[in-house]
Amino acid sequence: MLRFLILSFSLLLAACGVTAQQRTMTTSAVILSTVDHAYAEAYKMQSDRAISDAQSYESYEAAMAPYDAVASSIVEAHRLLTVLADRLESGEALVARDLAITCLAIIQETLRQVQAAGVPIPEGLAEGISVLKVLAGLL
Amino acid sequence: MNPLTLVELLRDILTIATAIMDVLVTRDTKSAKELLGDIPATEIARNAEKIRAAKKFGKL
Repeated sequence: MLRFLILSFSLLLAACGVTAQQRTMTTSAVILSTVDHAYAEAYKMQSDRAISDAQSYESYEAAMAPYDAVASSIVEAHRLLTVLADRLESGEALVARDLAITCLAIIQETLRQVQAAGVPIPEGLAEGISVLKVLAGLL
Repeated sequence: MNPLTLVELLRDILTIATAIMDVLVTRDTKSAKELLGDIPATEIARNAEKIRAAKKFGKL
């Protein structure tokens, strides 16, 4: 009986830990993917204007430099989240709370840069960020 | 409880928990990677716009 109880409790804990990791990775991926697509559209619009206004390729690049910097941040955030997903997939035992804190930091820094570039943040991301904060134990 | 039995019990627990985590984590991260995609949309847009601008200004 004792063996059964301990086994059940252990399995329950394991399942909870995995669920937290699952929610962290999925929520982070959804948020970043949403921001990524929104920024891609904003980048195209800005590039349209820059191509119309610029007199040379060099002046086009100068006009787009601030937007390129944010684009690089999004690409880097994408790379980091992919690395984390790969590490989980390879069986590395990442602590759920640490994973949530790391993902939250990546997401928040990306959002900060996108907002600073004047690109509106898509609606509905606040809930996802709240989920990450709960998983990270920050709420 | 016999210490040897306790060790066996802990080993069983770890084995089963690890097996379950393997299954669930693999399923989870695949879906997260699918959501992210191989190449960010921003990178695709940036490359396409650079080529468009280069063509317009005679760099290509």
